[in-house]
Amino acid sequence: MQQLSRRLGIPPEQAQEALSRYVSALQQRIEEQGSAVVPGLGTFRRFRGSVAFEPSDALALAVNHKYAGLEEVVIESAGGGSPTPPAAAPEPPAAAEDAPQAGPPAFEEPTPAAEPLRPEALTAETEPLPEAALPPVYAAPLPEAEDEAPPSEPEVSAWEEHPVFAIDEFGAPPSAEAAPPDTYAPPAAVYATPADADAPPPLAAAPDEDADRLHQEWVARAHRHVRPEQPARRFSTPVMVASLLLIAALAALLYTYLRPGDPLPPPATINAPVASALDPAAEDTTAEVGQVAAAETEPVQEPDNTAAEPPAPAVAAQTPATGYAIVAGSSVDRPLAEGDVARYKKAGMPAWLLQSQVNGRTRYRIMVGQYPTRGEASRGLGEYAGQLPEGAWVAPLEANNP
Amino acid sequence: MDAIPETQLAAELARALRELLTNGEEIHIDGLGSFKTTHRLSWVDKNERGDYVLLPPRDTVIFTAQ
Repeated sequence: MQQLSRRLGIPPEQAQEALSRYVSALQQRIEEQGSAVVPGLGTFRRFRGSVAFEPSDALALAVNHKYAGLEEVVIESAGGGSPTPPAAAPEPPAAAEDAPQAGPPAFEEPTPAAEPLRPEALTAETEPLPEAALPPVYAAPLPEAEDEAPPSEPEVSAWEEHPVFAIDEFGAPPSAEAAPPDTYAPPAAVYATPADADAPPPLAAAPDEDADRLHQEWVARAHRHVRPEQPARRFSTPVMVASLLLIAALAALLYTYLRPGDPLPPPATINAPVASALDPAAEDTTAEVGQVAAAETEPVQEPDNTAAEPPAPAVAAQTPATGYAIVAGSSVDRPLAEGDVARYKKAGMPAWLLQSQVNGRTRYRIMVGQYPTRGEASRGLGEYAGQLPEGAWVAPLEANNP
Repeated sequence: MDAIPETQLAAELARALRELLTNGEEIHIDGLGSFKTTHRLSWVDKNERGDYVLLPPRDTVIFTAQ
């Protein structure tokens, strides 16, 4: 309504009233004559007690501007010469003598959702198909429109310069007989309404600048939706370089994190004490470990480590057989456990290694400190909380587990 | 208001509707009905010679009478 009032240059109230009166007159005309033509819009017809509308060519072309120029493509000729017949065809194609050659591969649907082939729709809604040598789709009504157009030179270049409307994009290349240059018409003639020629003011009488403006808008919009053949997009160079740099940074980070002997990351045996702490059966296992460890009388120390690291034997010599200690980790891999012990020692903690048998397997526990009571051991655990893994826990040694 | 002839009103109404429908809007006119656009996907049809043809997609106008 705002557009109409603006176009007419009157207030919206007056435009509404004028439109109401026009609609009433239109309804009356439909009732009396069975149909009414609105120039440039279409024809209203009385149909089964209601009103049906048939858009004019100009309106249909304007609405369908995105797909203007797309032609039908023969995917299977009547002679059966097509390499790709429709799989769901309900009936074999009838033979014909003048079957044309199969067209190029079917064009791609510009919309993302592709409708499956519907052979069942081959009957009722079939539109009259043009002859084989017909010019492009929208060129058919042009001869009538040209009669109304001024006898000026047709703007052929205005159509040919846009690949969207190139008639040979999806179909066979046009021959001089099939699509002569005269077939094309300036936009004003193209958007004329030959079907409404009997109406009082045909749309062809509209100002040329309006039609030109619409034409330019449609061409611009069509360019955004329908594009000529373009090469497949690939990753641009900056994206590739950025991706490679990111991969390299991740690889460096992983290498730094997983490098053996690095004092920063937590020990790899962190899961073992955590699992022991969470599993109630692990407490029994711990008791067994303490007893077995007591049976062996002293923790295991490698001779090489003893020679290389003087504090190690001192700690090992101080290893008590009773009391409580902090279990910082456990592993079946002795070198790994020894590495953790050495790392804790470097950090200033009294770490030592305890070998025990758990379910027939030898495990190496990384122990820290010795405490006569559980409370002191817990305080020690809090003292080293920042340096020990979160799964560190206090375990009794052999003498407290009769 | 009386100075607006019916032909001019019809022409301006057609242009306004055409512009709005081209932009994909739905228009309702009291006493007449509603106009809107809909998209029809491409489909396979059979022409007079018996050829199976793939018809291009298109946008069409849908009118619903009031």
